[in-house]
Amino acid sequence: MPDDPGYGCDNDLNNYSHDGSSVLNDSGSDDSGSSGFSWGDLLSSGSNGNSGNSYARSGNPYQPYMHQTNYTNAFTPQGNDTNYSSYGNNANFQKPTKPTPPTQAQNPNNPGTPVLNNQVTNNNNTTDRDVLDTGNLLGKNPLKKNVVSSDVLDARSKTFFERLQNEPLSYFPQYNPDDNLSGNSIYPDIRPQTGTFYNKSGEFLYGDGNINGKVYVVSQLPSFDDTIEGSGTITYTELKNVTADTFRTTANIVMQECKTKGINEFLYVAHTSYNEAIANNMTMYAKLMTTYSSVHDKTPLSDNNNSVIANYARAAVISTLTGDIDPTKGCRYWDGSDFLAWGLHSLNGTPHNKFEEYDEIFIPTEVYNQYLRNQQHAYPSGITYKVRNRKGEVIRSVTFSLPADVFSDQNNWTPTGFRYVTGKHHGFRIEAVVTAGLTIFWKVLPR
Amino acid sequence: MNNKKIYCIVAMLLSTSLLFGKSSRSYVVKSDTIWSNLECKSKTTASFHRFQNIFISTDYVLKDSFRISATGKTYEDYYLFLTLSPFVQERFDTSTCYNSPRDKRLFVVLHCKKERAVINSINDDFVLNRYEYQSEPYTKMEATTAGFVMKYYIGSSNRCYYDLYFEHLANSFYLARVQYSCYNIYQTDVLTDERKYKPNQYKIDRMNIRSFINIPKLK
Repeated sequence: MPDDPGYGCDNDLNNYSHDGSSVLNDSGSDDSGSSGFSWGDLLSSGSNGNSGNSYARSGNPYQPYMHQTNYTNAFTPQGNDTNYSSYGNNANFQKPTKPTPPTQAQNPNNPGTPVLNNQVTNNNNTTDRDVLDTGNLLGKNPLKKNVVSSDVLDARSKTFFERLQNEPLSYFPQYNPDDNLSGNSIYPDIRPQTGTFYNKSGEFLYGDGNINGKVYVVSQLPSFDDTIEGSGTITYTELKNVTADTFRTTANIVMQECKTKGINEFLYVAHTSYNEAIANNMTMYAKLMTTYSSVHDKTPLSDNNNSVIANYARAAVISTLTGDIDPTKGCRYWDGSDFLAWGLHSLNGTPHNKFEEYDEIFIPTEVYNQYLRNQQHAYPSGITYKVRNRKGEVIRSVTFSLPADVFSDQNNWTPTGFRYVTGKHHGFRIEAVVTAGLTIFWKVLPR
Repeated sequence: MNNKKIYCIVAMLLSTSLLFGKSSRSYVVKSDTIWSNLECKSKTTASFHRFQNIFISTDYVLKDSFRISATGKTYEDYYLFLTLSPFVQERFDTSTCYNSPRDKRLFVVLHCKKERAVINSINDDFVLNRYEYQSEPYTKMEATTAGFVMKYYIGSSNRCYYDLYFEHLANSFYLARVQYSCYNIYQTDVLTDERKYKPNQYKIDRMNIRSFINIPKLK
C-alpha cells in the first residue's frame, strides 16, 4: 500500500498532510485554536439530525465545559497535621534518638511490670479519657498534649512496643476494665494495639502482623518526664488509603526506583509518584503497581529490613501520605542520563521523547548545572549504549558525549536557563524543578 | 404488603436500573453518531464534531489521525484512523464537569468512500490512557507501505519503545509484528527484540493492546 500520493478526495480534508503520515501533527488539546491542525480542520461540526439536539459548536468546542485550571490544588498536601515538620529539612531523616525511660518502680503485684506514676489507664477512648483525666494527680492532661488531629497512645504503649518485640503476647496480662483507676499507681494498660507502627524516619516500631491492618506513623515518642507537659504521650497518625502490606509494597517499589541512594532522591521519587497518582485519581500504591513503575519486585518490603535505604523509602512514602510539603513542587515525571545524552538524537535517531511530547522544555540554570555536573561525574567519557538482542549479544553500540548538542547551542539559552521550543502543539510544556543524583524531575504545565 | 417489602422492591428496581441502565463503556454508537457516556453535570446540550456523515461527541478530543488508501492507489476509497481522547485526559483540571478521569481513549477506524464514511471499528483497548503509563504514554501513528505502525513510549525508570505494525487484510487490519527496545534510564544496556504474528490472528477492533506490551526484565 503506497504512501499518500497527495491528492485528497474530499473537501473536509483540506489540510491533509501529503507525507503519508499523520494527518494531525497536533493533539486537539490546544483549544486556543492556534495549533496547526485541529478538529476544525478535519471535522466540521453541526447539527445531528438523529438527536434532535442543537449543537452549538463555536470556535472553541470545549468552551462550555472549560473550568478554571486548578493545577496547584492537585498537589496540595492532603494532611492537616501541622505538628509535623516538612521533609524539606533533611534532618528529619536522621535516625532519632530514642528517649531513655527513667528507672521505673516495679509493680509489687506484678513483678516486671513497670508502674507509671503520672499516667492513668487509657483504653484509647476519648470519652473515657475525659473521665479518667480527673484522676490525674499532676493536674495535667497528658493525653491531650501535642495532639493535632491525631490520636494518642499513652506511655504504656511505649512499654508495649518495647516489650512486645521481645516477648510473646501471652506474657502480658489482659486488661481488666474493672481495675481500680484511682491512686498514684496503676497497672499499665498493655492491651495489644492493632495496626503497624513506624516513625517518620521510616523505622519499624511494632506490627500486629495483620497485612490488611491499618498503618500508623508515630510522630512523638514518650519522654517519661513528668515535668514536661505532654510527656508520656505517643502521638500517631493513621496513614489513609493504605494497609500494612500496600504500604510495605509501595516502600519497596520506591526503594528500587531510586538508584543513587541519596536521601533527596527517595523523597523526590515518592512525591513525584504521589503527584502522578493524584493527578490520575489513583492511590500511590495503585499507581506504582501499574507499569508506571517498571521494577519487577513488587512485593512487600520486610519490616525487618532496617537498612538505611529501606528506612529512607518508608520515610519518603510516609512523607507523601502525611501531607508533607512537596519538595518537587508538583513534579510528575523524571528522566535520567538519557535525556541529557540524547537530546534531539536518541538511539533510533528520533529526539528524546520529551522533545516530542511537549511544546516547550525549560530547565533553570542552577538545576541544569547540577544535573550536568552529576552526569559528567558519573560518565566522564560520555555514555556508550550497547544494544543487545534477546540472547544478550551486542548488535551495536553508540557513544554519546555529554551534554547533547541541543544543550550546548547558545540559541537555546536565556538568562534564566535552557529553553527549547519543540514546535509541537500538544498543549503542555515541562519545566525542571529539582535534580537529585542522576535524575531530573519535571512538572507539567499548560502551554 | 408491608412497608419493608415495598422498600425492598423499590431498592431492587433502582439497583437494577443503575446496573443495566448505563453502559459500562464510555461511548455509545447510534447510527452514524458516537455519543459519549462521559458524565458532565453542567452540560445541558450535546455538541458534536462532524466528518462527512459521521458525528462525534465533543466530549472527545481528537488526538491524532491519519489515513491510508484502501485500494493502494488513490484516496477515493480510504481508511481514516482517529484517536479520540476523553476531554479530561487532555486537561489538568479534573473538573467538576468531567469527573471520571479513567474514561478510555478510543481508536476509531472510518471507511470513507465517495464522501460517505462508515464506522469500520471502535476499540477502547487499543490506545493506552494517560493514567496507565508514565510519559503520557506517548503514542504516535504512521502509515507504512503495508498498513500502519503504532508507536508507544512507556515506562518510568525502565522505558521501552514499542512499535506495533499492522497490515491491511480483507477490509480490516491485523497485527503483523511487534518490535521493542527497552532500557533503564540509569544504565547503558538496551534490549531489543521483535516478534511476528500470523495473519488473521489479531484484528484491531478486538485486540487489547496491553497484552502486547510488556517491559522485559532488565539488568
